[in-house]
Amino acid sequence: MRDLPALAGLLVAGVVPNLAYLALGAWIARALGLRASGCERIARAYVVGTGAASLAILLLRALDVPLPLLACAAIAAAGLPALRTQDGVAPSAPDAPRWRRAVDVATLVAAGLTFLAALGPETFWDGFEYHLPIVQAWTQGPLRALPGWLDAETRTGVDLLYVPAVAAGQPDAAAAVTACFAAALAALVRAEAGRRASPGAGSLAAFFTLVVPLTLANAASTYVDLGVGAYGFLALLAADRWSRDGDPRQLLLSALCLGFAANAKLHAATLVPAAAAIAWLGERPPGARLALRAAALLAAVTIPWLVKEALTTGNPFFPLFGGWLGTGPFDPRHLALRQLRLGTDYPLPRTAPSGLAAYLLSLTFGRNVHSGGLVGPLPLALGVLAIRRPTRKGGVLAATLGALWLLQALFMPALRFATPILPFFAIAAAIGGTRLARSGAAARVALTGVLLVLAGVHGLRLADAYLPRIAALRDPHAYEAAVFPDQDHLRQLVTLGRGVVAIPGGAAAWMERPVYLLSWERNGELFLDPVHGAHTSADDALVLLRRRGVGSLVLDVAPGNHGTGHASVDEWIRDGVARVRDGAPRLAARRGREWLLLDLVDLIDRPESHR
Amino acid sequence: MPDPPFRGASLALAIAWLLGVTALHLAVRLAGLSLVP
Repeated sequence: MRDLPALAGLLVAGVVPNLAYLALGAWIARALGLRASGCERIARAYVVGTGAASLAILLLRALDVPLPLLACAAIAAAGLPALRTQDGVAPSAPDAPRWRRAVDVATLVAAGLTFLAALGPETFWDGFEYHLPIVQAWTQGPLRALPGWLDAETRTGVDLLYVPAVAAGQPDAAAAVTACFAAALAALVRAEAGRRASPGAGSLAAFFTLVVPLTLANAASTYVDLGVGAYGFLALLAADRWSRDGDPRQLLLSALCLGFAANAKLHAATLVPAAAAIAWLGERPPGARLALRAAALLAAVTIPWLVKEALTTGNPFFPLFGGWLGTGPFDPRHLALRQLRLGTDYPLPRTAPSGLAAYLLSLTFGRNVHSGGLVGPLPLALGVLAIRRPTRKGGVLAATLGALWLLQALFMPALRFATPILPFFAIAAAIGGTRLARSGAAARVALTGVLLVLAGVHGLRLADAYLPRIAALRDPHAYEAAVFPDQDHLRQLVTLGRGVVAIPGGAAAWMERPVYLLSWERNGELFLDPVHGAHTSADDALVLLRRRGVGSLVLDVAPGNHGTGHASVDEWIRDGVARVRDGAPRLAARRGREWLLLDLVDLIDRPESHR
Repeated sequence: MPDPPFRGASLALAIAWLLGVTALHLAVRLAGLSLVP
């Protein structure tokens, strides 16, 4: 149970690093001469600041320099006054409707609840399975190669932002970063939709950006997709602003954010040609000098990660070009199968137009957990109403977004991978909604009714998702045990294990001793069971586990005496290499299974006949 | 330049589209209707 000082400590660990990132961004925005006002200025400073802070943390943790909250507080205190600098942009829209303030207040309340919910314990799968554990490893020692943790090598630019909170002993506060990215995305949408549609539509688009199911599923976790979305969206937006306004600072901002996006998730590197297409194929191709400056900035921002990957895997572009540059300690079959697995997040093939159409419809009318209906109905219901004969630059933007969507649909259909382009659909909905609202009283009545109903539905969902997490701030353990009882049981058995404990996967961040994930997608080196013909032999698997310091395994097995369900482990038991721990409790796992604790038998402990 | 407002049949179609898409979405999310995976 947390008492009041402990709750205050949690809040401080959630707030202070984010203020430091904001301060850093305020300095950079001033140095670049970027002009904006109000919440757009704050959001842009936050996005740019986090990208720069992540690189600083990469360098500092590589040198094992500690990052105390006090240092973050000093940076925040020194830098935040830069946010107050006026830059000559009018802060408010004079033609804004009176109800806009009410919408903005609702958005602020939603943002506040999101932030508090993010301080709850990590109960989101990828968050507790690898995002937080990797950061924990990098706070317990310098930033280094982590054998058996493939995700540590696939760019972790956003993850590094969790270091100050985790280093302060407050891992639950790490997800506050994601909540801030959600708010920043909403603020960027509000500003751009306000410019392209109307101030009121901008505020509504921001509200719905913050409360749609996709945001609810990510914003209170250490998932990094909203961060990638903020970098990528701002990069594309800035490239488009260059195309429309010809402000060279926008192109430099775009280059900066493209680098940050690629540093956070490598697939976001596809945004580089996309932003280049927007900038070059519009009506204002940049000159060679400006293009070189932007390219130099992009290179400067991405080179630190290339160096890091070269040092830890031998391949600066890991996991790309593995055939030429190698995959370091990781098995190339894991990388290929992982790419294949990502494509299965939507159950139907999408290579034919009918499959693509079904996938597109599923974004509004589907029930798939990774994509179905996650952005609500407004992008389709109102976005379509924004369609008209485009200008050249509008056509280039639309074609580029279409190409990015096609790539996402084909290769990574889970919608969270589309976060850089989804805000454009919110803007399209704002434009379509504004056009409809200008079409007479009947249209306004229908629109108001729909928006009120959806706000109510999304608001109830938000309360359902966040209020229990906020209520659990005082007793996070009870909340974890209630949400994932099987993982709480796993934690209890891991505590009884020896050395590093091998587990199938799951809440690695909750475990009180080091664990090794047997899931092939996570470890990148072991196929304990056959996967599409790939398999590690029982002998090789045993050698590998011993090399990783594994002394015990906790596996979920079917009740009764039917073996473990893993041929290699059953072979180890038969050979006396592993044995079931006598007297260990049999606790419930998921789907009617139960957890089984086994120990690997040390060679010197084994009878002569088994050596 | 702002988009021209909808008039006549296109206005009726736009309102019907808004209401239809929203109703169908809510039927899927709240009532469990299954249209596409």
